[in-house]
Amino acid sequence: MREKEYFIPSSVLLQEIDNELLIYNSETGQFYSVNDTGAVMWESIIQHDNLGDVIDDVSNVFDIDKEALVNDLLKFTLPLYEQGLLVLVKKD
Amino acid sequence: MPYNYYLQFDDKWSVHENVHSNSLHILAQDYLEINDFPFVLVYQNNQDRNVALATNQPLDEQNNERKWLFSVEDVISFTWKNGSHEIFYFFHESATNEIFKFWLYHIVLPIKLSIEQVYKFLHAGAVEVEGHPILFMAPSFGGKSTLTDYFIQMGHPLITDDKMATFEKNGIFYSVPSHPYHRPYRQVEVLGYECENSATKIKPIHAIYILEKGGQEDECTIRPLKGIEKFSRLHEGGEMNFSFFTKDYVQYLSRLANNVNVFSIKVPHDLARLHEVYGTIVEHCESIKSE
Repeated sequence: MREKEYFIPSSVLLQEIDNELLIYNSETGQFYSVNDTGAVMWESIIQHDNLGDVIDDVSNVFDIDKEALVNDLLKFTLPLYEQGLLVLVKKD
Repeated sequence: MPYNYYLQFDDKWSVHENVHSNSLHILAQDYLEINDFPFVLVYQNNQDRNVALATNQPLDEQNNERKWLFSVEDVISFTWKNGSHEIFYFFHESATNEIFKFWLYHIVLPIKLSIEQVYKFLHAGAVEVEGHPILFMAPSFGGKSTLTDYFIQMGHPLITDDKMATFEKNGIFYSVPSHPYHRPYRQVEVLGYECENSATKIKPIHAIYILEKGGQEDECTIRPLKGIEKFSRLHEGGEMNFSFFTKDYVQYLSRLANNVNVFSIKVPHDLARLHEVYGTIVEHCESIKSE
């Protein structure tokens, strides 16, 4: 069992509009849309609380190598942290 | 019946029994304790006045005894209790009956009905076409008042001047006629002219048209909006979206986006071609009715 690495703040809202995923941050009033691949990653991020589990999950969906996925996932999650859509869990 | 409420104006304090669930009593009061409302919210206004929306309790406290104050410096103040059928007003030195009506109809009623979650408001003009409500949304000075007025002149009932009250029931989104006043041109604190042909019934929203400014020579074209673009354009036209309801409002807009036809219409920048825009919309309305 992996340690909890991140959480999604309660200010973040997810909505599906015409099969497109909308991520809304009610703290900032900003909203973001993600493409189909991003939507799969985001759905997995919601279901888990650490990137290791997300990598396992998404690599099964797309049937791709986990190492290749790590870079993509980091690229995907970095702006999410920057925009406050994901928050890192502080370690003691 | 503005916003589906009977308004009863009284010039003195009175106690009403058996108040109809859809009636609001607008009562003069002869004193005002502004200090009773220490929690002030940001309220954007474009009427060249200092206005404030304030409440008597912190916003994060749930309490049925919450009271509200909406004040326009030197002009008028309104107070009401959450969910109450009474709105009190207090005239300051610059108040007139016309200005009083402006603030009541155009601002205070939408604020009260939003805060109490009776309706969700959109910044839109709206008329009926063949009995079907259609909404025009655009940024301020984006042409919706002019277009709404053109439809009125062509005999279509007015639903609202620029604050569209809506609600959802069983997945259907309804428009609620506001009041009969229309302002074809925006001037500060002007009530507008009384439109004789005003809609009176609550009806499902048929379509929303987002006005896009085109060039003088551009063709007037309509395209359906989808997905995030649709949400984004509706979000830009949010109205009375108070910070304490933001999440709820966004969820509402998302459901609206998923359930109502939203189109973008390119409007040529030429008043002489308004009839063309009018004709395009009427024809388009007809076509989606039969879909």
